[in-house]
Amino acid sequence: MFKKVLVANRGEIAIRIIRAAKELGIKTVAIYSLADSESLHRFYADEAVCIGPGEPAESYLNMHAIITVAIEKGCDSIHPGYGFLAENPDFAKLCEDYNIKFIGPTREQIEKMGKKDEAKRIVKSYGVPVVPGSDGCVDINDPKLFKIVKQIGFPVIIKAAAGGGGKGMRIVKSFDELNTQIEVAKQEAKGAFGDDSVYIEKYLENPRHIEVQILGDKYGNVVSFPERDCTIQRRHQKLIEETPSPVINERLRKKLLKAARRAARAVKYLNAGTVEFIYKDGEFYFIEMNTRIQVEHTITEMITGIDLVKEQFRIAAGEKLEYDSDDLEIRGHAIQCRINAEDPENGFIPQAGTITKWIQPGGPGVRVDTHCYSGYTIPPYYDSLLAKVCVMGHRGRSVAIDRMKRVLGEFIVEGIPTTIPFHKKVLEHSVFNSSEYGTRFVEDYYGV
Amino acid sequence: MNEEYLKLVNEFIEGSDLTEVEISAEDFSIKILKSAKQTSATPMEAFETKENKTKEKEFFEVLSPAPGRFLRADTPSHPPLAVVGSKVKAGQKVGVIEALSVRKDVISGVEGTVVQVLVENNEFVEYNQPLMFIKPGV
Repeated sequence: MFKKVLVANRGEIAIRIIRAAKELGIKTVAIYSLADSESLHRFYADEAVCIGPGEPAESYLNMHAIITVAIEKGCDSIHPGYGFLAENPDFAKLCEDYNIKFIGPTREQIEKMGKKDEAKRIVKSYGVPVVPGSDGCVDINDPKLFKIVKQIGFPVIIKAAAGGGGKGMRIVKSFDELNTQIEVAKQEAKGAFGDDSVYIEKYLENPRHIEVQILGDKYGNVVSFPERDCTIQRRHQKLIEETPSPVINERLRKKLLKAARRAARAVKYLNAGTVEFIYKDGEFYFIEMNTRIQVEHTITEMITGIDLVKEQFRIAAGEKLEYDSDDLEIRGHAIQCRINAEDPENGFIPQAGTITKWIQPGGPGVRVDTHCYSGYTIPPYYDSLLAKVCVMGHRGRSVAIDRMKRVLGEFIVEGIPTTIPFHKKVLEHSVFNSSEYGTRFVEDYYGV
Repeated sequence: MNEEYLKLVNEFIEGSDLTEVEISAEDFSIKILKSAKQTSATPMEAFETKENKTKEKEFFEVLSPAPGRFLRADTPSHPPLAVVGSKVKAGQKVGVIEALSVRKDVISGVEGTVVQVLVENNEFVEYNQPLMFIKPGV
């Protein structure tokens, strides 16, 4: 096992990783930006080093500074968390060059799966269902474009090959707007990811977002976990996640999990990853693979009792997965609400400022992951996630929903607006309770 | 007041537990603050005492521009770029930070006299760590 890990992240996920490392007896080194001098993650680690100013490019994305600190502090491993450098193949390579273990998949796997069109091609060849589409990148001058689109049928969606988070995406309903929208998507993709390649897919209206957590070890073992349902989103940002999905039955789950394992095996996947699907009318389609630990890994931990971050360390250290997908039992229904520093009454605008009062909920079946406390000032540089509130109900979804309502009622945050009131409304909504909705739920019922 | 005298005062403070010394004579007065030791407290202790850490700053602090090794000279055979008593100009190079063979100059932001060097040669420093104190003035 590793002796010392550098945690190349901030906020709640840095704390999450520090906790796992401590329980495994691994010493921890936190890095922090000047803007994060008050952030809890730097205080929880055994050592902490300020690596740059608040701007992410100068701190949490500064590979040179991070590797310098890792070497100076004698770290044998780096955990990237999610975001920042987690899916940057160059960083994984740099760690390799300096003989520091990158806790995650290999550089090649990050590269392959990071290109969405290539990932689709790879998993398709392994029999994983994918959304019908262009099978590679497209351009307006492509003579095959017309034929491809005619075959797929409108509406179609243009997506950035290097993309994520909704950037570089355009829905097109007719040939009249096709060329213009491809141009717009390319420009957006260029600006956001520095790569203007785009591809076309059939646009499935209002589907469910279903994803499967997987773990792979270096001996070729792949374990899949019960699916997570992340359908409640706003502009492709997940707000509420739950597991298992209320719309996937046992027969479908078997098929889905098998497809996810196949996708992982297609690239001999190592460490933790998530295979994302969209689901509509009884059919599911692969959309992409995330080559990192995800924000919502918590709910999978709740219902299976497996510590996924510890598993990441173990796998990276060369240990073997000692259990099979079939060995996992679903112990209940878990829900996570992402509490963001955003004003739901005002277009979900991210807020910076000082939290004057912070009282966390607790009680049975509750888990809160956060880096916040009373008196903490939220810096303006980073994402607006303040806390992940997770609950589990042993007797199904409605028990979990009731518990979440109780828990959010206990959560007191003063000084800045948060998404707590919005979550409370969703939990009361009859459509949410009926579980008959798609990814357009927030837009349809709240107009935001 | 001569450089030799300033050095003596500096050595005296370095070797003691004092964090603050004020000397007044007929023709001059000087106040020297010793920086808080950054390595002795664990992060959790630092959290508990973080409220008390702000101190009145009478001297200009030269801060590290990056994490890395603080080098006082361009090469080991060269003399230090700045020592206690050195007169420096604003924008003058007073040290070097080296990280994975990449070097960054440490620059004084003011014109004045170096009154204390806080970090040993070749010691690892973090970003924004105070490296030396400079008393502003021509």
